[in-house]
Amino acid sequence: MLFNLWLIPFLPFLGAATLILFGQAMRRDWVHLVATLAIGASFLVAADAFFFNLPAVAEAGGLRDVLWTWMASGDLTVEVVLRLDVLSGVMCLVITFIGALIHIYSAGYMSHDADYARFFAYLNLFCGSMLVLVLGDSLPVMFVGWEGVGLCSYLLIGFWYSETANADAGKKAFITNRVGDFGFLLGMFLLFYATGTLDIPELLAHARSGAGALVEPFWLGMPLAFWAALFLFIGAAGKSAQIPLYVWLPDAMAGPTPVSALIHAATMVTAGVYMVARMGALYAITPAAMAIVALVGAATALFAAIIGFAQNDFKKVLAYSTVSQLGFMFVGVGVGAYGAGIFHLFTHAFFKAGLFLCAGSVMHAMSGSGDITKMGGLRRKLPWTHGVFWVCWLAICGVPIFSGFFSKDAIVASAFGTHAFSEGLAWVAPTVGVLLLLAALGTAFYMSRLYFLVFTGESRADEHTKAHIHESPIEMVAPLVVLAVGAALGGLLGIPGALFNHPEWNLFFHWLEPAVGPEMHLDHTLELAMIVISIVIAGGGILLAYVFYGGGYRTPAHNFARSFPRFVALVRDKFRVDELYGFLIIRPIRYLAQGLFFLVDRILIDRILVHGVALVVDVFARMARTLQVGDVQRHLAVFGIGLLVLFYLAIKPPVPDDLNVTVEGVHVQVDAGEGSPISRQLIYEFDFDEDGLPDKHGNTPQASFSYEGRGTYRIKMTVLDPRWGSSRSLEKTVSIQ
Amino acid sequence: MPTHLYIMLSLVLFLIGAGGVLLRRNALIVLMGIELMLNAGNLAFLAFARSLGDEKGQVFAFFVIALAAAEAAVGLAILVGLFRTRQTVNLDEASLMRR
Repeated sequence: MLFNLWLIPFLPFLGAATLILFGQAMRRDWVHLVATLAIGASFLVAADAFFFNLPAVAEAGGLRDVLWTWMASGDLTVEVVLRLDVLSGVMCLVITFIGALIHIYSAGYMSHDADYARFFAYLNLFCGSMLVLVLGDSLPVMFVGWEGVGLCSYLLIGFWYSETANADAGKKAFITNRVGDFGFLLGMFLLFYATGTLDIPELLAHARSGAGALVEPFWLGMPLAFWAALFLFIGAAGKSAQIPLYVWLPDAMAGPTPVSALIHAATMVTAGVYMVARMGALYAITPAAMAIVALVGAATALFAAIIGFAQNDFKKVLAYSTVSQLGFMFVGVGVGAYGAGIFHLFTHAFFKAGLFLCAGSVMHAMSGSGDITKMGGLRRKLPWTHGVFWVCWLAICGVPIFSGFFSKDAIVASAFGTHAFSEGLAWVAPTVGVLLLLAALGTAFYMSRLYFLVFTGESRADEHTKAHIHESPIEMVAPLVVLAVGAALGGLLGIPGALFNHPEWNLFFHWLEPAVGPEMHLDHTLELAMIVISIVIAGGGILLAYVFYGGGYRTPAHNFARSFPRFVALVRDKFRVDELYGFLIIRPIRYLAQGLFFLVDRILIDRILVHGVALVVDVFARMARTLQVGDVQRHLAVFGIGLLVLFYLAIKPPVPDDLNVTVEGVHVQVDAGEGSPISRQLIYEFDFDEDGLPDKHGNTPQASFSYEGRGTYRIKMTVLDPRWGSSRSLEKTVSIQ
Repeated sequence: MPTHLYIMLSLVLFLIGAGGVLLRRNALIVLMGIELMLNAGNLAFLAFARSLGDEKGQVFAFFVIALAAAEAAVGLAILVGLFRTRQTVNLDEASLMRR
């Protein structure tokens, strides 16, 4: 199976191609069968490789397959090489498994949609691109996948593009991503400049060696590795929705809910975290860059959590929750606990996808609306959805035994216990830890708010909507249940080693060791303290939300809204960051674009180049037209003029191209060609001393002359035709030493 | 008589004929100009024949006269046809092309 790695991304691409080409003509059943089989088969190949082939070579770096040489030009050689090691293997399993579940869910959710085939084609295309991203063992290959998922995100967010708002959301996502991608490119350029390679194992070997151009100070006293890591992180911030490039994710909720579940919860947004974990060795040599990653992650986690307090759309709450949880993951990889970050990625994929699919189920039941102010009491009407949501809710809040508890605890404990930062940056770790604790409190609060407002109490919907509330069909509920099971039990894979002093019980971290290093060793008391604090925070958040929203909007909620109306409005308007960007960035660019459009397009191109050219042609055409009016006399006149021209050409004497002047001392010899043609007798006159009087003349174009002194002279030969009296002359300068 | 005077006369007549052909609007005047040009050529032939003592020039002059007569007949026939279709002998108006 070693050489079948390429099947993993290829199968979804094949599915996408089939559906793009033939999807319109296929029956619905066949369409989702092709798509689901493609991703399912990919899962089987990945699982087979991961469980049966990988253990043998895990220590040596995993299964590596060089497909072909993409570019070989000058110093740069880039091969298309895929590598399945423990890290990318885990990612592949997550992508294909959750992808398959969402394909099944979409069969039910999108069953009424006219563009069924297009949707599944895009889903497959996305999965293929994401798999290329994680399997790529060379930065350009990863970048191809990186761009591919950005494209598919745009296509899927704007899936219902007939609504302008959806198309705008797609554009916003793509453009914001692009800004980040520019950072990624700069990082790639810097790394190539420093090490001459873009192959990931070679880059990491350079980083681990601790020497070379990577650690030389490059700019502002910081080493090149710092700048490369920073720029790569900017790319990650764009893809994974961190400050300041998170603004596209809430808008992306305009896309179909399965898209939100797959792309904006489980897979695409985690690409940034994966990239930082993959390039861990690079980050390990620049604590400053790690500090920035951790601080940005923590700040984002808290900021997004606060915004989540006041959102009234189901999916928007989940969107900000995703941004916040991604912040947690970046803290994990930022403090050096790469395993913890990936573990949270893993558990988050399950419970967030579950939450989003529940959102889809609820919105399906509420006739397409996601307004939580009009929901309530759905616990009774949607038992299965409620059950799944209940499990995923407890998971994300960090309630023990459920998966989120273990992964979040791992990150927070690592933040407090990391040794990655030394003297100057020692303040970073505790700061980040405290911010994360606050964010965890916020997470518990806003998710519980969501739960209480939607599922408990009395329904606040109108009669018409209430009548239509119904549980979702089996193909939508089944994946929900699978995800709930994963969310509930997945945490048991990662029991912290420090808890029971049995590190080998931590299966997940143990698996990841060959790629990201061992689990961070933490003090037993620190671990216990963290667990207790986590439980207290989770419980506190839930309790606080219950006080405000248990069973519907309660008095404390109304009182708060009444006392601080402007603050509540500010938070609900997401701190008006979009408006700020619009003012600072988008407005100037729009003016610039409009100005350029007017200047270049209207004036330069339309007027000067197009009309101008036509005008010039017209002027010459008018002049030429006068010759051909059909007036015979005019034609005769042209005839006569032509005759005169021919006459002139006939009588002018032929002159050779060049006077071949040979200089010997003061003696000059001129030889200018073959002489008169037989039909004409020409006279040649030579003027050697620039006095205007001919010094030599004869019937042949040869002459010689001796100069008196040194200097530069101009020799002029005149050819005369005695019959007609016409003449022509030729000059040449010669210098005498 | 110096030959060059005859040649100059011939040239002047030719130029007057050419001017008439190119510049006059009336088709009859154009035909007259053509006759003038032919006669100017004739004069040049005869002048050179006399000065070179070669009678070939005189023979040529006969040819030219005959030719001129034939050509005048044909030209007038065309002119009559033109008048029949266009009702005018004004060359400016006789053109089918606009402006």
